[in-house]
Amino acid sequence: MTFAEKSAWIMSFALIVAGLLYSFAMVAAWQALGHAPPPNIGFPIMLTVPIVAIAIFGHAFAAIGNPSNANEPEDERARQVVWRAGNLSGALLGLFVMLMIGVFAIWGDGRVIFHALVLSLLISQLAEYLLTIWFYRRVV
Amino acid sequence: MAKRPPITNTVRELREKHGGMSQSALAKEIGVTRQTVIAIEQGKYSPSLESAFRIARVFGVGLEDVFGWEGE
Repeated sequence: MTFAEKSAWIMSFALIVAGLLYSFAMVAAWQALGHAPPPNIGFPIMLTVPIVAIAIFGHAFAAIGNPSNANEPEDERARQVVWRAGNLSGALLGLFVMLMIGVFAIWGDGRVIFHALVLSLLISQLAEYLLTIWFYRRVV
Repeated sequence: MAKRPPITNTVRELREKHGGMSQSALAKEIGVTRQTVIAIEQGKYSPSLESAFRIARVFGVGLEDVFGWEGE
């Protein structure tokens, strides 16, 4: 397994953990308030801290486990994999944004859009890492 | 899912003929990762023209001795 693929696994795990924490906190706040919680700095922090922590420790352990693997430069296949995964996840993010615009036009609640956009960013990024893993294991 | 490219190759056979050259050694010679050499051998990845020439040069053969079109 290339270091880039290991990295994609680590980041996928980090995003799933952060996404679940964020979703649980948002749902709990929604139930307590009776409406979508207003945007505040606590939510992005809740998302960022686990991602950064898992990314740092995960990559450090992966690099210690196989240092030569970690120092391998990106080759032509890796560039194709990254390009394809990024292209598809970018399209997915665009689709989410279009959907959010539609939801905002109908619903008109910016608080919902804030949380939906944060989760859209997270999902599209997760899709990029999962597609990276998929392309590494399938025909590019 | 992307279709398997219709390009065949003899990279594994050529490695074996060249004293059992390892995938890592070949990867280092042509400037790719071992995983990319594995993908080429399994027909999951068609290398760039530059890498194809590099592989042929490592084994001292022509491009057509390494790569071919499926069914030909």
